[in-house]
Amino acid sequence: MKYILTAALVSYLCPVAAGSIRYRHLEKPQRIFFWYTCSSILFLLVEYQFSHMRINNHAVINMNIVVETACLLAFFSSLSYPSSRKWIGATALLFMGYSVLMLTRTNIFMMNEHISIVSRLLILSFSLMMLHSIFQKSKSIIVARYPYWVLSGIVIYSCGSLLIFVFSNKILQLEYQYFELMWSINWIAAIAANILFSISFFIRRV
Amino acid sequence: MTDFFWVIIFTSIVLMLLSTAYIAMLAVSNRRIINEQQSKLIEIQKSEERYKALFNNTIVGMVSFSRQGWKVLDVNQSLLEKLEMASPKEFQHRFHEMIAPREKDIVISLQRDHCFQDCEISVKTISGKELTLLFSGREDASDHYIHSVLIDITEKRRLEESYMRAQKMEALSILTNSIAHDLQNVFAPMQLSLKLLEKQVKSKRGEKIFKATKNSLRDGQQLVSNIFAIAKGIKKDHKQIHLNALIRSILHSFHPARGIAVAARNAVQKENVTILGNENQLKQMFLNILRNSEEAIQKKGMITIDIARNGTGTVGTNGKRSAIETVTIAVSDNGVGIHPDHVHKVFEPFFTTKRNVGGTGLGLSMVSEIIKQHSGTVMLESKEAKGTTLTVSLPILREHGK
Repeated sequence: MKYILTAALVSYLCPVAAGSIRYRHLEKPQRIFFWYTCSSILFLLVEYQFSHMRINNHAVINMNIVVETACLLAFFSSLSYPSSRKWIGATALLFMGYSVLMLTRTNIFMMNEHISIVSRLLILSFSLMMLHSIFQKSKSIIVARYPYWVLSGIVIYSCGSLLIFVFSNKILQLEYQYFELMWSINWIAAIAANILFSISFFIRRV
Repeated sequence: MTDFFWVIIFTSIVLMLLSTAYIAMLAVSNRRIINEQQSKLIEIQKSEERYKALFNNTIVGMVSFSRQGWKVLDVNQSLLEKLEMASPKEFQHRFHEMIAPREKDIVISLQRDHCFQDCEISVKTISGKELTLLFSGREDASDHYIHSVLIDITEKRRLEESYMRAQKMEALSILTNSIAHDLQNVFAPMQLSLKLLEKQVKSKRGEKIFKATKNSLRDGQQLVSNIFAIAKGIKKDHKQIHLNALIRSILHSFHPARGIAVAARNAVQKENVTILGNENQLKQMFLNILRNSEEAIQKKGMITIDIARNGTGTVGTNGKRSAIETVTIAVSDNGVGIHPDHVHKVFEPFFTTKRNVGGTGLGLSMVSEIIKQHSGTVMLESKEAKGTTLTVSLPILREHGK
């Protein structure tokens, strides 16, 4: 399990490294995504450090979910046609409002299942819609286009971690070995996603 | 609790695998679709190239246009070449002007049947060549464009006209031959009777009437002989003729009306140019030309005869042309000239604009026939109210004293 965790942490560095190397050649949506990967690694480090220091990191995780969703919605918006952007923007605003409301009304030091569920569902549904749209409208091979790789990574990670986030509070009540096994599924999904994100930075065509 | 745990684990793994499979399936399907699209695109491109080649290389002209503003969508190379135009843009500028005379018919046909057929239009090429085109087209209901073809029927029309003319001439020839034969039979006893009567005319008035009758009979016989010549063809009886002597003889025989001066500029006066021909026919021919010039000058005027050696020119009959030294005799007058519509008809038998003053329409037809028999050419240039020049070109046989 330790190896999976180490591999996952290292895998988070891959897209950041790939994005940094290729940053000058990246298009606007790729740059937004690059900053999302940077924010992810920062949150991860903080979460890891808090957990290492035996400090409750649930507030950071909640913040991470909100920031992650906002970043990914911005990425989806930059990939979309202008007519779709306003819908994505409206959704982002609604989500932010909902998150603020939920975080202020509930205990911030507990994993907020509601935000997690809404966030995962939003990200998953937008990713699938965009993937489908790219598939429908593509006049060239989609494998040669970076949105395919990014969206594939998001879909795989979201599917793998959906239930874990939904039942995060229940999982926390499990014995440590079960908890660790459960999170290793999340880390495996993260490794797969990070590899796909890293590949996406080396592809230029939209 | 452990059951719940395993359900979550199992479901998460299944969801992850399903999403991976879905993504892989998308990539595979996309590749298959793109490959199919590409092969279809290649087929479409090939087909487009084939149709483009057919469109551009076909003999007939093709043009697609919109009825609104007669905007040209596409025009094929064949039509551009036929009209001597460099670009479709140039064609667009002249398209409406081309179809303007038939525009109303085309619009009515399109409104009624969504097509038009065999509209004959006349078009002038850039170099001024007149073309006759047969214009047919059909409206495409889907894009409201009219796809049309233009077939060049200039040559067909020319052949039809010449065939009609030949048929007319053949019929005329048979008719005139028969009339001339009958007239000859009428004139023969008249001539004999006049000879017998000649001795019995005593009074001066009688002599005058007799002379007028005799002249009329001679004119009638000459007319009959001309008709025979055209109907049967002129008899070829050629001998060597000295051109200068011939010209002198012609000028001696020609007595112009009062107020008309005749000037001859003979550039070959000092050379002894010889031609091969029938002296009487040539004399008759030149007198005919001079008489035409005289008639064209209404009151006062001038007839000029220019004789010049033409170096190495080309003369010939029946389409066979060869390089031979020629002499040109150009007869010019400053008379009324010929109307442009009549210029190409003046050599046709029985074509005359002087029917009311006794013109038979045989003079220039005879000239053309005689020139043909002498392997020469005749050319007519005329400007209304300015005058006419008729240039006869004859091959030189040989020269003496050189």
